[in-house]
Amino acid sequence: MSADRKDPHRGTQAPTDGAPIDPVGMIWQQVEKSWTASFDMWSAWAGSWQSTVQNRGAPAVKAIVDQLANPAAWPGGLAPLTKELEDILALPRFADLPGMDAAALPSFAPALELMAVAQQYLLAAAPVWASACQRFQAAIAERGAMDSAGEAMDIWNNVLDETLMAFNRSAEFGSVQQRFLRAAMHQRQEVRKLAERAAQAVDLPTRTEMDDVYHRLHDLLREVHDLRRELCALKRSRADGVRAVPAEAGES
Amino acid sequence: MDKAFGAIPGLVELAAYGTRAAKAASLLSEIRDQDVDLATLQREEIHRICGRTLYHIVADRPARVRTPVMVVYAMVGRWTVLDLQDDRSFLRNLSEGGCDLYVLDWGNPTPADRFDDFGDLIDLYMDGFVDVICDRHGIDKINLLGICQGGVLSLCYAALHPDRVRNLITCVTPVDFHADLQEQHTGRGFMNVWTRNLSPADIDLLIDTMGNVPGEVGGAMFSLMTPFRSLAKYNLTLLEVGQDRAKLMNFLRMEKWLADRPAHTAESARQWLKDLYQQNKLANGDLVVGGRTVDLADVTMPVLNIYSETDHIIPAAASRAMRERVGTKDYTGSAVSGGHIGIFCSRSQQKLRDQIVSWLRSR
Repeated sequence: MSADRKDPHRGTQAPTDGAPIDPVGMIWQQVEKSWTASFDMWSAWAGSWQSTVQNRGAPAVKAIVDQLANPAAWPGGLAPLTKELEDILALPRFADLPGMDAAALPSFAPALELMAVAQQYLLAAAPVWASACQRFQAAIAERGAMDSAGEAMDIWNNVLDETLMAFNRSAEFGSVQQRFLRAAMHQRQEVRKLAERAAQAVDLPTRTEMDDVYHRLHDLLREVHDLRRELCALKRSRADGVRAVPAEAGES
Repeated sequence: MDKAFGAIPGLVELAAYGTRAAKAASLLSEIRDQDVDLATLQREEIHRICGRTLYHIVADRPARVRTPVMVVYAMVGRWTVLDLQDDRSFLRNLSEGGCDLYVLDWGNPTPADRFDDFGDLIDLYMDGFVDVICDRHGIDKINLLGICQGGVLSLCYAALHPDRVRNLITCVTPVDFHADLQEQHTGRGFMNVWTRNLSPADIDLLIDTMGNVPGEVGGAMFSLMTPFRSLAKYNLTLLEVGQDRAKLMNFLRMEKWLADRPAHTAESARQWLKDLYQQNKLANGDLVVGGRTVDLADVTMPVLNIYSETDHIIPAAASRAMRERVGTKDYTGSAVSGGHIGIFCSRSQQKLRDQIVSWLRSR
């Protein structure tokens, strides 16, 4: 093979031993090489795709399927699924490219979760109103005839308040509250993420930066307070010492 | 015609309702926000530390209780409820009873205050103000009167600085934050139930995200305690009090006070909700403030603990639990009638005033 040389003008190999050129063989060789190169490329892409599917897609799809197969997770709506999709898109950080991390993008998951919480609350609260109506009817029946609509209103108000108070103390309501708090806080974090990016774009301090400043101020305030206390103690002890010296001198 | 009109069921009642509503609306139209005045008792600003202010109540008669009293209210509300109006003023009553009063105003915490924890509230602000009072009067101890959360802070202060407190008075102050489990009542201790429904991680999420906890969050919690009554006050109650200007003004003053809810500093709120409401560290002797453990056995000065058996926010059992935990031999527990706020702004405060003043004078 070392005897072969390339003809830069023709782009084909010229035999050096004086053998006749086989144009069909050369064409076939070119086609074969092109095909092999093309196949290698597609094979590499297929490997890449397979790796992506295996490492990112399959776990995410498994998680999504698990979520879908779990009736307990259904009230959560689409929120957990969007998290999984974000995980598929996330990339490592590159030095000289803009951040492509999907986690940096605002997520709709908390907003979807808030909608799901509202549904859960409505589901939990619906029987409470039915119960309040039943209790009101029972209270009216027990009371008998009434002189005014105002009396009925008072009974209704008391029944409704007691029913809602009992519901607000229930584990069911506690669960909705807990879920609401988490979703609301995550939603707030998403909004803050957007606001911080906007603030950075126009050179305004962000919440995170201001918190850092406040932390330092707070530490300084504590330090000043401690130093002031030490100074007062020193002044007191010095004053006591000055008073003690003449007294001792007098005694001697 | 009148007879026929009156014979239609409910129509007379509806007409009477309309008349009352018109009268209430007429009265309401005469009143502007600036007419609704709170905390009118004369006071002077004595000292200020980072937005926290110490006021001295200017009395029109000489003090009969020689040692001045520093009043510490909760951070979750404003102290002005203690001087709601002339005839419903806890501070005026105490002042007229002969107490020389100082009031700590926690102000309106800003994001710059978010890292203030119990250690700062107690060792930095409260102790700083106690220094100022002692310097003014040439004394080394003061009387401390803490209310609700202010009572908890006062109790911690007394445990950590027993040499600075001559007598301690706590009003509607929780000590055992899990005591509501022993005496469960639908209308009481909702905050305890709500907080325990959350995990410590939820509280961290809340505080880390919000920073200072806005007053509106506390307001929402209080509304959930009595969900319908909180709304009914704007139709039924307003209609009732709207027939009389004095009653309406009283109602509007309370509303103005309720609307003025300062934020709670983030780190102290974290301790309040996690260490106290969830983990009950004050009662268990595990609460750490400013790097020191609060041991209530160190509260050795005389203690007067005032609580209400019908308190819907702080269950009485939570307050009564103080007796077994403080180290003093001079403990007085006193149950008074009224609600959590009502005991400070009802007209019948004579008994409460007399009790506090005579207790202080005898010590």
